[in-house]
Amino acid sequence: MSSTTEELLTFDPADLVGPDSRLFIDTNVFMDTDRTRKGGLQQLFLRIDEKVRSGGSPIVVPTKVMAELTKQSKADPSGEDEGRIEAIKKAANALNFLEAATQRGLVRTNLGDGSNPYADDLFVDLFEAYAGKYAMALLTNDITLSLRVNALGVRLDEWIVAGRLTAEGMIECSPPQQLYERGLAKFRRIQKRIADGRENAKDHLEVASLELALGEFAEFFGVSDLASAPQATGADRPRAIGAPSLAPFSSTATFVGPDEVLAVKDVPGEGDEVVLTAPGESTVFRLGEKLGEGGEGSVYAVTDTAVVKVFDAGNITTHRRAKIELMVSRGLTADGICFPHAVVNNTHGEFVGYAMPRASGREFSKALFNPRRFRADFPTWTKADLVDVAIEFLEKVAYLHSMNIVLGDINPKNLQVDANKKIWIIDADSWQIEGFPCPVGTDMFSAPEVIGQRYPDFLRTLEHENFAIATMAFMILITGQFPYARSGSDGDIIRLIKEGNFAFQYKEYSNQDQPAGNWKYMWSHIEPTVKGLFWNTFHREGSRYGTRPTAAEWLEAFRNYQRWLRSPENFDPMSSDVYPSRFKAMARTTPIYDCAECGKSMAGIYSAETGTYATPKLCNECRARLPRCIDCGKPKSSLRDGVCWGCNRKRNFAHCSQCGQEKPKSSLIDGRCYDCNQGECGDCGRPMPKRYLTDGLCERCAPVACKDCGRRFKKSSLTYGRCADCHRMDVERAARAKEAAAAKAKHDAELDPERLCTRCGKPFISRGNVAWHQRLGKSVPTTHKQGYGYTYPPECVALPASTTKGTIATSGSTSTEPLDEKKSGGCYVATAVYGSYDCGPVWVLRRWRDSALASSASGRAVIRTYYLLSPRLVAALGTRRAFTVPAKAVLDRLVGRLQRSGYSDAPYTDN
Amino acid sequence: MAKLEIETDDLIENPTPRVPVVLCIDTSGSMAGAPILELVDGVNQFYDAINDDDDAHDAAEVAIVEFNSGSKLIQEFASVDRVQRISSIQATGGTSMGEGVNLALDTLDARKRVYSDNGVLYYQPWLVLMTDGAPNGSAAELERAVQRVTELIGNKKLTIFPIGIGSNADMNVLARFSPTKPPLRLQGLSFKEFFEWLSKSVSRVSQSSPGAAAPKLDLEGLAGWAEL
Repeated sequence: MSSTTEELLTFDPADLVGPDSRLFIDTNVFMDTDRTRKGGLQQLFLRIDEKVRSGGSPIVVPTKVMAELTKQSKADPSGEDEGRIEAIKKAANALNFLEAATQRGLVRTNLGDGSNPYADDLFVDLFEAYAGKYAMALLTNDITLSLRVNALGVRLDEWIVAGRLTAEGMIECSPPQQLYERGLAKFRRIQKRIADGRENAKDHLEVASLELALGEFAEFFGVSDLASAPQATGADRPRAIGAPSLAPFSSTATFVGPDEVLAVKDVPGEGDEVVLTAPGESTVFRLGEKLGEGGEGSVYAVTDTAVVKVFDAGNITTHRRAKIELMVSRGLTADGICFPHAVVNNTHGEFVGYAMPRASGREFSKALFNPRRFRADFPTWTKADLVDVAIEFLEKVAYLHSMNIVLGDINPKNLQVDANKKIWIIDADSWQIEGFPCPVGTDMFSAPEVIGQRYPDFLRTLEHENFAIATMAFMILITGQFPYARSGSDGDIIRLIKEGNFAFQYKEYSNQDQPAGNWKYMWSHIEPTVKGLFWNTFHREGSRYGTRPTAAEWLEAFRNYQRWLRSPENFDPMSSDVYPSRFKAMARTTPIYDCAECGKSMAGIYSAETGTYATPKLCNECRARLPRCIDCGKPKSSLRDGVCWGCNRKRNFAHCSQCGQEKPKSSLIDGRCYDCNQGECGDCGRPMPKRYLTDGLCERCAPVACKDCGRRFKKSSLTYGRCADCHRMDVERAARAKEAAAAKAKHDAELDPERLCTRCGKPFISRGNVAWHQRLGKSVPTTHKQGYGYTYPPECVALPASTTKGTIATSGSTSTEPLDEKKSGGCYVATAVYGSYDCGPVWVLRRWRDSALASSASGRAVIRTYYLLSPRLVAALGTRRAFTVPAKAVLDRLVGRLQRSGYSDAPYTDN
Repeated sequence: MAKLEIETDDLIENPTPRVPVVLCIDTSGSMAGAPILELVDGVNQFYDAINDDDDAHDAAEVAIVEFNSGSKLIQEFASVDRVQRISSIQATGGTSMGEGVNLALDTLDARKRVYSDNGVLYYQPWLVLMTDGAPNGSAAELERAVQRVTELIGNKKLTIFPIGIGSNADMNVLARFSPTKPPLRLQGLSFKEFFEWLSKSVSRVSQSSPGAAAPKLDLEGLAGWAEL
């Protein structure tokens, strides 16, 4: 195991269960209750399952560990805290699981016996015994054991590591310095407990073991507890970049003051001779072809692997000379970093520039930071390649930082990349070294706290540099878009940086200002932890806005990104594309499918409300080509009369003004839906539409004035419009009236004793008949009525004339009209029409005349009139058909009606 | 429609902060003949120079407004890939400088809105104003133009390059447009040199600088062909 690794290492457990490797798990891992590592064991077993069963070695859980788990699971949980109770439960569960896993062949638990009193010692002994035979890894949360095992690995120079489990089921080995510090912290904690007299039984043993382990570890890893000065420990120094033996530059130097221009006799150009001076040697070279021209000078070829930068006249300064000399004197060299290796003087011995390695590739700004150029230059690259580029960049920066060099002017023109992902950092003369500032910068890469200041006037801090690092890392991943680009800005870069309003969407920070184009898709696919780190660094509400991640921290995050891209956690295949064409799928279960029209990849859209994914058939572009709804203007695949479903619904449906529910417009009355219109009578409780209620009452219960007394009552309580009282009075009144009428009728029906028949001298006419005659202005008869044949009724026995005449004379008028004549005269018209007085219809009519008409006064008037007029009518018209035909029709109808009402057409004799 | 889409794609796909340059040129009758021919050549060479420089190519967007008796937009803002090379310009009529500058500023405003809507970054725009005479358009328009330009410059929202062509150019009027630096007078018809310098300046905008000021434009580059 390499002893110089400075960063967090992560191993896939599947790589440690091969035939030549062994993976061990310690007791405490099974009893781990740390939420951040929850589910890690499940993930671990998922990762190794296939590998173990296809000929790998099972995970080793020694007998000693099994024994400890059994003991722990039987501990009495009463009185313990929650964490401890959970741990005890976990121990019991682990035993169950391990039994099943053993049967499946994933675990072996039969290793070792009870001879070693401590599992820790057992592991160390095992590892020492089998070192060299197997690659061995131990999963443990115990820092003491971790230190011991890792130290053993270094001591034996064998592949032996101890690490912790991650939630993803990976094995994570912290950098030595971190491990050491954790061990030291634990050591001090226990020491303090002992000093305070609060120690428990095992503490003395533990502290002794830990002290030993720390000493051993420090010896083999060369770490110390001077962690407060990281550059001194080498903890930030990445491997294999530069020679690690060189001491870094001073980190405490103060600003040296303003720069001064050096006057030179001549500035050499193409073909001119220059002198290269490195420690111990001086060589004359002729400047070759001019390779480029920058803001401060020009670069010339001198050999195949070296170039010379010659400053323009105004840029040959004391600072530059001092910095170059300082760097050259150290003899710094590093892969991909254009350290000056010789001072360049003109032939007069005046400083004009420096020699450095020849960088390959093209500037980031010309190759990476423009999608059009990127596609042309690196057509086969994927996201993993960009992550590699970022890692290369970060490694180099971290190395420079470990040397206490602040780059200062990190920008895409000072970085070069070639097709082999080789990165070069150029422009060493602008770096800030010791008290010499970096005199230049670009707005885009300047931290908000220094932007707008004059760069030559102050020394930058690593915190300032970290802003540029974050920006550069972001722009590498996303091929050139500036983190603070946003729509709606006035393009002022300084203001954008100072505002800290990072527009790319993150979690609930929904933002409508993301710049147009595919950038938002690229952002969406970035690995979640890196994404979070970016957001927290760039957004003014982010947790890292004030303390930005260092190059080392970014490096760790990007290494994890690299691993993530190949891991099963990266479930959306498009996350590996440099230019994704859609947002990242939300989860592994999100459906990913193709647009039905153009075939572009699409991901389902999750709805938290329904818990399902919407999968529209067409992508946005294809949708945009659909015909548009004339109401809402949105593209829709189906339109009715040019209107989409939703708008048709809007047209035809409306919301009830009361309950707000959407209802067909036609069903609303006064803006309310049926249900909201439905009310009930406040009195009788009958359900009924509100519009029929008056003051909450139905029509039946509404008060109405009694038509007699005028007081108001419920309408349903009235009878014929009268209240109960008035109705009762009305009924009584009606009874009285009926009684009176009956009495009167009886009175009228009685023969008038005052009037005596002039013939027989007896009463003969009823009072009512008298009154009738008088009412009609007729003369009141004076005798009994004559029947047919002018005969008086039998009871009328004529008196001797003298007596009757005298008696009756007083009774008023005398009748002279011969009634009998009319009666026997027959039915003139009917006779004329039917041709005979004795035939069916005429009998009917005669019966009617005598029984119905003659029984009432008005009827008799009709008869009278008829007998007055009809003889004359018949005499005039006689038997003319023009008269008889229509008259017969009229009579036939009358006869028919009479027959139906019961008048018989049987022969009839007038009486 | 399709053309518009391509233009928009081009606009949003390129993340390089833009340098919008509007050339506001005098095409009055007095420019007829050699001056206008040289000017057209100079503009085309400007395009070529931008095209050849990777930095300028991605950053520059050029629009051209001409003014004579009226004013007209002869090239809408576009990246150098999309600009039309000019075959010839008819020089005739008066010198409505105010109208021309106002149209140039309106065109700039519209372009800035497009940038803003799409989240495209840009540096402060450049207005190159070239004339060989004195303005004789509407006095009110001229006053309005002067006021707008000086206000923008005061807010650091515009950089102006007022250029007098030949000895008859009214340098006093040009000076009114440029409160912070005096106008330049082109010696003879050295348009090519001017435009070459201008294209270099575009690529310099994104270069590292000592800060605390807008990137300094290398005025030394003007030596030999211009007098202050």
